[in-house]
Amino acid sequence: MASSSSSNQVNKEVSMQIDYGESLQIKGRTMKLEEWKLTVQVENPVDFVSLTRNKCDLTSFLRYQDLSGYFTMLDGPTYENMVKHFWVRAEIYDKYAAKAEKDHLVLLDPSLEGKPRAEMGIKEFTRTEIHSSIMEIPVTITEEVIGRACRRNVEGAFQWDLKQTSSWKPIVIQTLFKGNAKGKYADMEKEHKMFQKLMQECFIPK
Amino acid sequence: MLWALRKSQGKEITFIPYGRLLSEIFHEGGMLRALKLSKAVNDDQLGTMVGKYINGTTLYNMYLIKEVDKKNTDLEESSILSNLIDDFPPICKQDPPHVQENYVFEHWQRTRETIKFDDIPETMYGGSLPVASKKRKSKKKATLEAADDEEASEPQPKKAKKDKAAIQLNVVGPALPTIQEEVEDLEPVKVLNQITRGKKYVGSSGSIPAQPKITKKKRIPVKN
Repeated sequence: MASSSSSNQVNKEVSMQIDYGESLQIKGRTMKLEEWKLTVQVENPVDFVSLTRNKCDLTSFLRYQDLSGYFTMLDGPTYENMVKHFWVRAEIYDKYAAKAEKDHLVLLDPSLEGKPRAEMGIKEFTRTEIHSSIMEIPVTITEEVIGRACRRNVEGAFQWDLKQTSSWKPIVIQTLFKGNAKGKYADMEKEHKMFQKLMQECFIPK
Repeated sequence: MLWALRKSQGKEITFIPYGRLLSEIFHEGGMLRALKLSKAVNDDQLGTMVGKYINGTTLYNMYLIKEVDKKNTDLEESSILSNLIDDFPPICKQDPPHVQENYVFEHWQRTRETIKFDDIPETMYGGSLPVASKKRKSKKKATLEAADDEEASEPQPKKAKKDKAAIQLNVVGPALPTIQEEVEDLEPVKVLNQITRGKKYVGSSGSIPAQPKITKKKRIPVKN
């Protein structure tokens, strides 16, 4: 109910960059894994009203992180077979793939060496994309597409692979374990345990 | 997503992350609209499913609260509808009357449109969608289930013991000759020329071929 109404609104506001309408293309598989061997992970939707009623209020977190749109998006169905079909045909178009594309053309026609990409008949590399197809309809996914599907701007910051000497460590320990450096999961507050649950079930691949 | 895709291409992982996000991208990109118009697929073929809700019950299961405060207005997996359905009320006549009343009233407050009792379907369209489970099936269980499915799809009636015995008699009967047939087939020449397993001839001495002479080998003394 909520998902259908919200998705309709978004449909009016934005248009996704799935490039269908172009000539259909038969795209081969890019991995050896069979579709039946793959498992699709489905993000769990969250009922924040129920959580708040049960004395676990996370709505301020939603407002601060601007994630209410993302959780609204999770209230919807997942098309497992479609996702698998997309996944086994997906390929990453990054700077290495763009360079390989250029090198391949030069190998075929050495006179193209040193010329810009436009003259070689290939588009400029501007961003990393995932290329695939569903039922021969080409699909291109970029960061912007993901941002629009998540109903938020394509921006943010994250810290990857925190080290022991990081300046964030005392702040994390103070917040989660009240300054106890040897704190454990059991010492965490209810809200923080729930945050961890949300991270595992809704954000980070397991 | 890129990390998982690279790992999948290297056969290092077998899971696809962000299934719901990818489905939403397909939906908003118009892929599902095209499929819906063509009426070529249904939810079974697309493998439509929903994730399990995180709510008060989850808090209880995590031992964070001792009692769950539930209400009828709580979101449930069955309330999530497939995008292949348009303007379909998420209630049916199988729902409790107060649920139907609440929804009709809320719908009227929101849209000023009235849903007639006759317009409420008898059952949910296609039933509620299956909930994605994280539990992995063991290979043994999966094969057992597959075997059960095969049995269920092709039921074979049990055969009575008598029938089995009759079938065995029928099979044995023509295969083994009776004593009378054996007697009729007995011809001395054929029988006498038969060779047993030990390559010894059986029958009259006249039919035995001459035994080849075995020459004795002379022992040669070994000189030390």
